[in-house]
Amino acid sequence: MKVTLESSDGQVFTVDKEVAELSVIIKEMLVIEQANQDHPIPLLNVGAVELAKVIEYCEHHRNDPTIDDDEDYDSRKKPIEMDDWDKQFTIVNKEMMFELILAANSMQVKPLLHLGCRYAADIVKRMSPTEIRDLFQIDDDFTPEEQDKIEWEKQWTKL
Amino acid sequence: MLGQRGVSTPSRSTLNLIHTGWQPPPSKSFQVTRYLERDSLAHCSRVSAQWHQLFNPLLWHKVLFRVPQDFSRQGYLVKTLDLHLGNIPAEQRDHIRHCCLHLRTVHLHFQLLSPLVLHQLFEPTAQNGFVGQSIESLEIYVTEFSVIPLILPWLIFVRRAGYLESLQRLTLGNGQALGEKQQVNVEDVLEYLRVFPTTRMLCFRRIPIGESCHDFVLEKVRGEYGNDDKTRKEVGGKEHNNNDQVDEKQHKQQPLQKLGPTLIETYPLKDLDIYPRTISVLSCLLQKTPDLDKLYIRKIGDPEILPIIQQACPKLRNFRYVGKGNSNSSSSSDLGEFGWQTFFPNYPWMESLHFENTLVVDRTLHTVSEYCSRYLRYLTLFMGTKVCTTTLLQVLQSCTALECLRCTTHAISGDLFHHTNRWACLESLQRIQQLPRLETLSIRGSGFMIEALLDQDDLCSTTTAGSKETFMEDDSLPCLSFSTLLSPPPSPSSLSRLCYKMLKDITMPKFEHKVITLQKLKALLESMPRVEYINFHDGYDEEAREWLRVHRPNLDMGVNVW
Repeated sequence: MKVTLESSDGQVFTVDKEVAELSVIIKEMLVIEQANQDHPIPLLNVGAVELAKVIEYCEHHRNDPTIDDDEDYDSRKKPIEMDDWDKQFTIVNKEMMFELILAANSMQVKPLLHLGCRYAADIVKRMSPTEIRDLFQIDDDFTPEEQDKIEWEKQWTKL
Repeated sequence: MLGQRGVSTPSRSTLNLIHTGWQPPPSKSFQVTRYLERDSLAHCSRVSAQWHQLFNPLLWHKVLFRVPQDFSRQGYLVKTLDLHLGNIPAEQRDHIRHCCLHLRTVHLHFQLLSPLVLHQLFEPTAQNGFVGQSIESLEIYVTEFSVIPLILPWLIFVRRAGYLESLQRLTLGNGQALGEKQQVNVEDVLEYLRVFPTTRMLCFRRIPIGESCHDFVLEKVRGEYGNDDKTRKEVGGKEHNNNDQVDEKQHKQQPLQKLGPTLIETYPLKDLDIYPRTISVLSCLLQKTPDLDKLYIRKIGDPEILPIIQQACPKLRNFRYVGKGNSNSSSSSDLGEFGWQTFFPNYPWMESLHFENTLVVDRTLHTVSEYCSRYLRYLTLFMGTKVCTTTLLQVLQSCTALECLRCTTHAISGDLFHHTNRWACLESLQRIQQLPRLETLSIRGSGFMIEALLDQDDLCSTTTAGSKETFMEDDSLPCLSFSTLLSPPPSPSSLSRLCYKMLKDITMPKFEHKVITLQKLKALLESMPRVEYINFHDGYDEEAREWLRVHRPNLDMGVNVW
């Protein structure tokens, strides 16, 4: 069975239902709107470029076992291994990857979200606070008192 | 309908934190942190006030070595504590144990620990995080020995008072050379197991475990060792007196009773690290722990341990044996030969083997490669190895699951990578390359040739040894872009092959000359895409060293090569 998806800029994609259902949101919508499948499902905050990439990802991973997302963030489980295909998939520019992460998040494509998190972590890794601020355009908004506190923290948090 | 971008994005978003307008998402969806090390988390917490709110609690999960001043607000977050508590003033210690009530893993180090302080730190009260119900793992290291025998009885007392209910792993350690009489009594160990029946790991490191009434005459009569009846004490059902005055070391001695195997109470212990003073100590412990998965035996030089282990622990998958070494007495090796040939056939599922300070001969390894080849992943031969090249090759050939081979030896008989033994060298490499999972390779011997690691196609156009290299370059490697001088037409087979796909650590013996040229180095690194640690001592020539410094500053070289 096929499902049609419409990106925010109006492009329509037709994919297998099982591929689209890697998105938790779409899966839920398909349950609710079972009767009304003539219209494409609108994805208001996913552009065509990103959507194409998300679909590419879902096509490749259509047969993967679903991952359990409800574990504690500090769980001692090993992080998910990236296979070669995933590595190839993440060779895109940062902006694209961040857009993809947002798309994966809004569509709730969990394995892709995990992949994106891993990618983001790899970028942030070894960056200084200043570099992180520059990258994400965040202001340093610490008050002088907080700044003092942070100096203290520096002392005991380093290894 | 899906939400509009940028407008009150859902709180589950992981990357919302990165774009504007985010709120700290609920922790369970916050997966980025899973992939970040502590120092990265620390950096993130210093980005902005909001990032601080998000990341700072994560930093509190572990307090390692450096102590924050004030635990009163975040102490409840601390799960792992690793401190040199001996250097911390008493008030601060109390502050810590009163504030950190959700500890899971506690490692404490002391130079000196008085019994009084031991009792105070592990005082069985609800306000004491050090005896909390969430504690799963406890490690106590005291350099000075005297308090160590008191620790088990005190923990038993604490547990009987209703604390430390989740404790599963205990490690005790000290830093002193110990005399004949300094030991922990096996009776205390057994009592500990009885009171903490769900213990999964017990680790005593170099602390000797002995019998409370140490009979030195018996120790000299070696013939008595195997005879459990004479030395083992009946320990079941003994009433243990646990009051504050735990310095009582005298245990009631009761006449021995023969216990049938069915009557022996057993415990689900998985992991034991022990230096047993006598065979009977080992025997009476192992009889109660039939589920042992890991066994680490130290210093007892008696071959009789093997039949005992074999009989008592049918489920072993990890075995480490560290012998006495030769420093003790010249006769230590005269005790008789270890019967590895009859031992290993019982353990076809063995995953990890470690021999140290004990004689390992060809026959031993033949047995290993014959019977444990299927699942063996780690093999370490450290000090005392006397094996020849062919034997090591046999191991490499038969143990296809091998991930880690360390053979640190000064007495390798035969030359694994010796240039005079070219055949062995190439042969061994082919074996290594056939081990798809090998992650660590560490060999020390003499006369190692760098060519041994590189496939002939990589360095030599013909099989004639020592010829000038024709070097393959892979243009996709950014590090190679500046040297465009040598690029012979790559043979497809050579480019597609990554010989050491999974190799992360590699250590090789010292070279006599600075044999690693830049070309060889690059070819090596290319064949090891995952390498993180590469130790060739100072075998690099100037050019190679300079290139490493500039292009691979993060590669761990083991020694300071520049």
